[in-house]
Amino acid sequence: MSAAVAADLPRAAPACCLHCRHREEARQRLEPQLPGMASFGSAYGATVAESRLCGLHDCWVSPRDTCSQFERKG
Amino acid sequence: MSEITRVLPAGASPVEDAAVRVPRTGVFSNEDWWSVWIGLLVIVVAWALFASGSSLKWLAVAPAKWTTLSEVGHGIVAHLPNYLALFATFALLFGTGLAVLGHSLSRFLRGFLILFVASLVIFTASAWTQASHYNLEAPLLALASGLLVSNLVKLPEWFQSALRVEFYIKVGIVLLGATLPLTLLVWAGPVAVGQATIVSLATFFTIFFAGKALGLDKRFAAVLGVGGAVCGVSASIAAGGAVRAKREHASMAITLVVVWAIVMIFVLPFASRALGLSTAVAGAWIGTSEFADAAGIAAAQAYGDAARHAGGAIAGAPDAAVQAFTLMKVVGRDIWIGIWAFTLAWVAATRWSRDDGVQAKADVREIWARFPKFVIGFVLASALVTWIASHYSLADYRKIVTPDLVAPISTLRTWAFTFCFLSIGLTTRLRSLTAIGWRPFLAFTIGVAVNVVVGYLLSVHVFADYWNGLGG
Repeated sequence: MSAAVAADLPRAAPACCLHCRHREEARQRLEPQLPGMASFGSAYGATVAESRLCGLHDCWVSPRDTCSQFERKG
Repeated sequence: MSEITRVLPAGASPVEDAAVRVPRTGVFSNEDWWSVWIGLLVIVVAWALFASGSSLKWLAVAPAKWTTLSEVGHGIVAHLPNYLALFATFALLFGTGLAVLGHSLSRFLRGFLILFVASLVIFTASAWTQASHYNLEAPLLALASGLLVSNLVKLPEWFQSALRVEFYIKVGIVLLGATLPLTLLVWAGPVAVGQATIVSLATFFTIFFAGKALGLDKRFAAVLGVGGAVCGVSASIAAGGAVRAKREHASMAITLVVVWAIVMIFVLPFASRALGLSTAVAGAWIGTSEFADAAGIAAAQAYGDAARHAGGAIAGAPDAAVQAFTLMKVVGRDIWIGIWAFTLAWVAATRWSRDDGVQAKADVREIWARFPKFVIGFVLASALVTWIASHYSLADYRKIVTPDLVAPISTLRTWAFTFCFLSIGLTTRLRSLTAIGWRPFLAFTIGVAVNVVVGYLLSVHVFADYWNGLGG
């Protein structure tokens, strides 16, 4: 990580999944990626909360999670 | 790397909570809240009409019993304005909620028109006087026909917009609250929680340890365990989110839940009848051993419908099956999903290592965030109608309140459930489900076996008196 980039971090929004482009924010993206989900569940239900899929790690993440491959949303 | 890219050092740790401002989710932000508002709005309007000397009966239309097709035609033509108004009302209520949640309203309305007409056909078929002779209970008929269509024909994408299984079932459950006295909820609630806790823990640990013994990843085993123990697909998603499970693991858990839930829709009512269970006891067993709310309501309502037409061969009030199911499943199991998610998140964050570098920690706010809010609507509906009923004697309640207030709400609830049952069948395309290996299948199936047996023993031999007190 360059010094300039690192210096920017405190001023910018925190480098967490909430601001990462790999976290697929839209709920409507969930059901097509999880076959059967719409049969007895819903991407729009409360139990999903703020969990979303990470396109990079292909796993569930929450807004405050972090990883070394964070990439800020454009 | 682009200019907008920011990289944290390897092994980055979770950021401070205060530094991350997660957008607040309001009371119109998910289907649960919308089901509360829609259900309560219907009940309040029904109450307002009732209080002014009118009734919602005109809108809450349903096919009458029939023996010849000409009777069917006459019935539909005679009530055409009612059916049109009913369609418009449901379309407005569901369409508003779904549009706010980001769905395309035009796609939903086109699809919902077809769903409504198909539901009317199912409703009409189950009103045939010989329907029970051929086991044509509305839930099973809707489910079977939906499954047949979706697995033989490729349905257009826009039609999928109207197949909102969870939304319909949640609205139906809120409306169901209006037919369940709060006193009954308070009386049977602790029993439901006790029974559900025993079975949920037994099922979870069976699946979890069976999965571990079979070499499954701990997170995957936990997702499977909660899916079997709590509320099926919703629980698999909640647990998957809590432990940051892999997508393929969540997919496999969903597949297992869907397959077993559909099997149980047919098996549990059949087994209940073969074992001579009363409606309330069967409802409790279904509530303990079904995996999804929608599937369980289908099974319980099918058993209640069978009892209604069995001429006394099945003991208990027909409605007791769905009431016992709802108490057991919604009050006993569903409301704890936030606790399960938080506990698993804490265990996963502190005890289970991972190799993909994702750093997470448990957040106590998950307990409320994942709480199934429609339960609030269910309890409020129950409290409201109980309060209204408290102003009447038992005789007047049966003579006035039931036909003019409660019965129309029950009819609208049955419509919502029928939309749901059809949607289950129409969204379940078996070929599109994720392939699963034998190890997750075996782990989950061992849990199913334990769940069914323990659920049966508790419902039939330990707590039968409580459940039969619902109307058995």
